[in-house]
Amino acid sequence: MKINIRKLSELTGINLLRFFIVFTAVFLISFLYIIFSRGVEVISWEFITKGPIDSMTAGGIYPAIVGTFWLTILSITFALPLGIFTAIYLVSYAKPYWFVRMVRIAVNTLAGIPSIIYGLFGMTIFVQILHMGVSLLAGSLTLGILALPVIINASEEAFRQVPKSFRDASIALGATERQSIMRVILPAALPNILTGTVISIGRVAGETAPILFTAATFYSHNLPSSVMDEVMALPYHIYALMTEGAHPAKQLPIAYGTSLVLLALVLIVSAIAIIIRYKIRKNRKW
Amino acid sequence: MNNYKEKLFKAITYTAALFTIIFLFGIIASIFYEGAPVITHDLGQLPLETYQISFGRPWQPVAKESSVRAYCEVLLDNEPATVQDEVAAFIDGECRAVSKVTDIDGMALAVLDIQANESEAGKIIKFAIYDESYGEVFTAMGVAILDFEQDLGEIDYPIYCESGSPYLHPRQWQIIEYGSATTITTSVSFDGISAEAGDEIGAFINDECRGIGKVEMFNGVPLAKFTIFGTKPQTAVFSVYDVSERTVLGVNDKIITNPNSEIGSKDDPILMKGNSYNGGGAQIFSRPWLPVEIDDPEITTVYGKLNKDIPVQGSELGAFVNGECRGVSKITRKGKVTLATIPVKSYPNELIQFAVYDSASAQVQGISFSTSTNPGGEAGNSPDKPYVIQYLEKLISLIFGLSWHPTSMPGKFGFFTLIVGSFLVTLGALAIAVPFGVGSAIYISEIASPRMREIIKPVIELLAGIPSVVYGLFGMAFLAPLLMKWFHLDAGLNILNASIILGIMVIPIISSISEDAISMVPKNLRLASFGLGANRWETIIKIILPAAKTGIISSILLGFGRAVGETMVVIMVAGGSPQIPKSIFHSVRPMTSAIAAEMGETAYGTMHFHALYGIAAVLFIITFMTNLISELVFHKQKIG
Repeated sequence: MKINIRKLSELTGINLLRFFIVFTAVFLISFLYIIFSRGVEVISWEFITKGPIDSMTAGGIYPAIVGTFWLTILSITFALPLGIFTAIYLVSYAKPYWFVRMVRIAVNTLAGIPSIIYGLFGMTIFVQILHMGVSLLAGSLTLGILALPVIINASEEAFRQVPKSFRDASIALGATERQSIMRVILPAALPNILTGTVISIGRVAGETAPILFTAATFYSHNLPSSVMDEVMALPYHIYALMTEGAHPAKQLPIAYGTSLVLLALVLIVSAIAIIIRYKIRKNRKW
Repeated sequence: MNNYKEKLFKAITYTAALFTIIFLFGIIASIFYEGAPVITHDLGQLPLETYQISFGRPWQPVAKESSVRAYCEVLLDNEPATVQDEVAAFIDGECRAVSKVTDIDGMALAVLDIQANESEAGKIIKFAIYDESYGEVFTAMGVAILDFEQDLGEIDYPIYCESGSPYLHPRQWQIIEYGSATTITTSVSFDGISAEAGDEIGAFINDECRGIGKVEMFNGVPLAKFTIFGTKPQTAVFSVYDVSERTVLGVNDKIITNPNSEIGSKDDPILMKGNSYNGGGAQIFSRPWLPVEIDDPEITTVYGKLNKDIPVQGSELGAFVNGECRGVSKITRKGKVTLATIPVKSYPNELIQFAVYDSASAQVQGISFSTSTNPGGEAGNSPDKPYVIQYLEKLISLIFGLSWHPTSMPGKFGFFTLIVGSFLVTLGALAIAVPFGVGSAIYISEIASPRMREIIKPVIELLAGIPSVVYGLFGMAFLAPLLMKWFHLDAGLNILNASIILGIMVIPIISSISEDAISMVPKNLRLASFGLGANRWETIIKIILPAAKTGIISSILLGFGRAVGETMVVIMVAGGSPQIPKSIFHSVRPMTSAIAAEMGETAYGTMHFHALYGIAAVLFIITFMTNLISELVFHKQKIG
């Protein structure tokens, strides 16, 4: 009898765990299905290549795609070198100890700060004090700082995965510290750094709160011609379609369509990164 | 040569690392710097010039390529201007037209030919009125937009150009309807006297009438409950209509609408005070100031800290209620602080406005800061008490303050309902995410086959990357109608909805970190447990969970930090009423949502602006502490 109770509790417990994961999976699949099925109805070639018309109730989302593209590219261009060099510092130099401690505290704290606070920071520093105004530049810098901790952590992990013998061999052959980092360690770590970066690209492209007051505009007639222009962006476009404008019923399908485009961009980019990383890990000889 | 390159490279890496510290410091500094004035609030610290539009006479119009005709109805203190008075139009501070007022059937009309270049289309035209009888210039509160297509206003329907209340909207009011609306409950008064049943209050957004409420009496309190149409948070201004006097009065109080939810309630209505006197941002009160005697006054002592550059000799600070001078004080300097202490004769719940007389320029300047009376008590920070203690008191009243009515006059900035909103939504999210997240982590590492694990893990990682605004869309457009149907609710945007969506968002975080912690549990422990005859479930519950406890706690803390700081989901699905909710079907306004919704509608440098940064500072401290504790917990496990 005692054994039966134990068996029963095991069965219930394991099935409870199974329920948790199946329920999560079912929820997420239906979530993706709803976004997909409703979004796909409005997606057409025109939707992706034309601008919005009739006060957001018709037309496409081309300017928002362009805006998100530039915001992402500029912010990564800004954050990637900074992140890689910080990681090199943490892995290769890491002196003095108190400075390493401070950098680590800074990176960890930055990683935990809510994105809306980045938005306020960007508004105070870039928009107001540095007189950039609400612009592509201000938004990209804000998003770049947001992506920085992710890139630093990914790069550091990538550097640490390169075996120490690589560096030792390089130094033994007479290379300096700089040469062994730039010619041996960095090339070996680069694929992993880039996959980490690509995952952070997905995050940056989908962020709304940091660009609310630094870069985004509900509607712009022209595509951005310089970094000082306001831009439309996919995530902000979804938010605006859901909360602004006078025709919610006509805007909702467009919001679904925009969500599908954004989701597809983010998931495809991240999936490619994850697959590449998987392949690298499999083929790695060290 | 090589040595030099080596050093440069090293310097670059150090600089890059230094930048992370600079960014963190910059974020902390900007939030706390902009948030501090909400505690220190000093009269002169606010930018006077923001509200100070002075168009000094004589007015000399500047000629431009082209011109636009504008018809203005001119009023001074709600009375038609006289024929001796003048009106001038200004673009970018430059005088572009001047005209004397003409009398057309009792209406004071001014016809202005405003000089402008075609390239200036879309610019704002400001007006100033010269009151000939007093020899003073008043800035008209209304503005027009330069447009070459047509005249601005018509003879029969001229632009309203008045020195009086800024938000006066003449009748007839015609409501313009939108897809959604905010429900508002207010108590209405005129010039300090309660409104009567039948009086009306109109709400206006972008000069469109969006809602009208009729005043009804509830237990002797004049209340109006009505809806304001509009689909996004926007600043609404009000006018009140006194039926017995057949007059429309302006209202200084504004609100930011909050579609699909309620603002104010019967127990805590928003106060709307109709005024027949001049009102608005900063007002200029002409000298000499002679305090008025009122019956049975009580004294509110106001301590005002002013800009350093105001000379002490001969300068004065005046306090005004309802356009009457209620107190004047000399300005003194104590150490480095320039201040004035004014005993203000007052009744409860009156709005005190200020003006300062600068003896150096012999000019009166309005102050945009205003405060409410506090009979028998004090307002501002007294010089006799240590500032630190007063700041702490202010901080406590800020954090535990129950009313968040930032746009009423004076604004009420209590963070408590917002903090409670954030915590409730976050705890709700964790109630969902902890069992599901930890459960799937255990399943993945203990039960799933290696092949299954390789599929599930990347999928979870992918899900962590879904943009929050897409979750927000799902909650608003799909989950909300479902909840309304299932639970028979009037609105589906509430704590429950936000908790579900946030919970789903946090599952991947909790799951992936918990899984790391569980896989760090040594294999020997499992084998030993099985060896002693325990089955899989007993091993999980009694061996693995206790061993991975700290890692799991740390994952929950990180999930908490993520959920409490999430903005887009809560702004879209939490409803947005700043209230203490009574059930999970009520709407709340979490901190992040207040910042994101209101920052766009707030003028730079106002107390409301600083209060939003104050909220950000509170939010920062909460997430910082959470991360710190989580790190300490995890660190301990690594060592142990």
